[in-house]
Amino acid sequence: MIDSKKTLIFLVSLFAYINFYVPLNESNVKDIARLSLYEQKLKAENSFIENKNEIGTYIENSKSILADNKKIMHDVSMQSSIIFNKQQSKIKNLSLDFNAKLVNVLWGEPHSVDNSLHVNMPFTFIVQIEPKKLSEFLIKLLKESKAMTIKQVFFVKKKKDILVNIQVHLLKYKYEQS
Amino acid sequence: MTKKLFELLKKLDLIDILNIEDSYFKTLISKKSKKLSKDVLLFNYSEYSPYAKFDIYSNFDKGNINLWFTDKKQDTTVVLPESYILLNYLKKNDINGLVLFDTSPKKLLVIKDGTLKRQISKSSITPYEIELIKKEFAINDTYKYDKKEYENHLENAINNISFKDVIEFFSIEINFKNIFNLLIKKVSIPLSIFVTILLSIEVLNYAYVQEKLSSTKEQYKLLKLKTTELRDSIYEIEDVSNKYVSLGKELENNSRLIEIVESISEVLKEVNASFLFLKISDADFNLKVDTNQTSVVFGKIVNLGYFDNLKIHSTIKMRYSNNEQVLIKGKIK
Repeated sequence: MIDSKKTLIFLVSLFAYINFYVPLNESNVKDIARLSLYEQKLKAENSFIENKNEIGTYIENSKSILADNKKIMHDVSMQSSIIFNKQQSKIKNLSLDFNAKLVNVLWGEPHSVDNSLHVNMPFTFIVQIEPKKLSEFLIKLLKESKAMTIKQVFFVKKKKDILVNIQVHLLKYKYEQS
Repeated sequence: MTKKLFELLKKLDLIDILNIEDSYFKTLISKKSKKLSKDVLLFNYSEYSPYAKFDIYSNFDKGNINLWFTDKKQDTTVVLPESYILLNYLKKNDINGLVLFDTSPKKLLVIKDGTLKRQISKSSITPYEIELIKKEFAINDTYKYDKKEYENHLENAINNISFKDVIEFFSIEINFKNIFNLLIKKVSIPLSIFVTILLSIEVLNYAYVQEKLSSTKEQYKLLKLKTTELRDSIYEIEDVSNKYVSLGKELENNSRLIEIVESISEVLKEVNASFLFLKISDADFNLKVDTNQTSVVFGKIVNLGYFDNLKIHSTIKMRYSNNEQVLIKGKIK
């Protein structure tokens, strides 16, 4: 004979264990893990607040360094045509210094990549120069110009000289403030 | 087996005694003495049962099979008939004959030649009946015990139970219903207590964790609000700094490019080769030279270590000299 009262107690206990205890236990384990995570975050925030003054100084110093850094590029307030013109004069003068001949200059359309710090201003020029002066010319060009990236160089022999075709991106700072 | 042990096993529903008044005894001649399963007993001896629904217990004794029928279903593993254990004890004391216990109801055992011949339980047994039984079994001796003596004998009989007796009446029916019944009987109450305790602990734990979690979250939110401005400034600085770092890497390529041009120029001077054109666009490298030492020029350019996948793309042999125009292509590392 099955003891119906005890069977009921057994089944109810089993039901309670499976349907209430197990999910509750799982939920508690997850919540304890979350709690531990929040406690760690809280600790980090407290430590952050304790060092608020040092962090403030670090931020100010960093901002000042970044403000200096932007000087390596052309000024945001300058018009593109003025920047191109300045660069063109610089190359012309440099060519004269190296007894070279500025054959051609081409300005491109300024453009920018998302999230970059600067606007790229494509600038292409062709110079006819003696081969032995080429390296020094290039070094001086980079030294005396604001920051630029060389995208393409093409040298071709022309009689005793070399025709140098260089495509660079002049860099103009994009933002008012860093 | 001591009385204490017996009581303990009885509490655990592992052993019990089948009282004389709750059973009907029958002894039959049997040539076999192998222990029979319950099904075989029911199949062969059901006809001797005075009950419609009954259980059966048996043992073998000197060429006889002793059968105890009862209409009371017992769930214990070992059921020892009271008359059996009394017989074993009385035999030890050399008691043979009619044994009458003056209890309520009265109990009567017929022991002859050390074997149990009959057990009777009635509210009253007349002297006439006793004489009839003695005549039937041709016995002379009569032993009468009052209630107290009966209790003493029973206690001694229990103490006298041997392991052999337990084995003889050991019976377990392995079927799922039995196991389930046993499980329900033994486990349901402890399980319910255990689950209740577990659930209570878990519920308390849940309440504590939820409260703590909620207060910690709130605290964290408040603190985070205080630090948001500083944090945003740091993120902004990190972002801009990373952009400067990548720009710096790009600018480094300019000087590397000049270095490559100078190195190529040195190589061409060394082997007296004449340069025709050089093009460097992003990572692509193209060089065309006029030389009569193609392999030497190529080897020296490879040794510079600036290029990957460097190869001679084409050579054109000049008609009026030993020179070749060689086009070398590769990728800057």
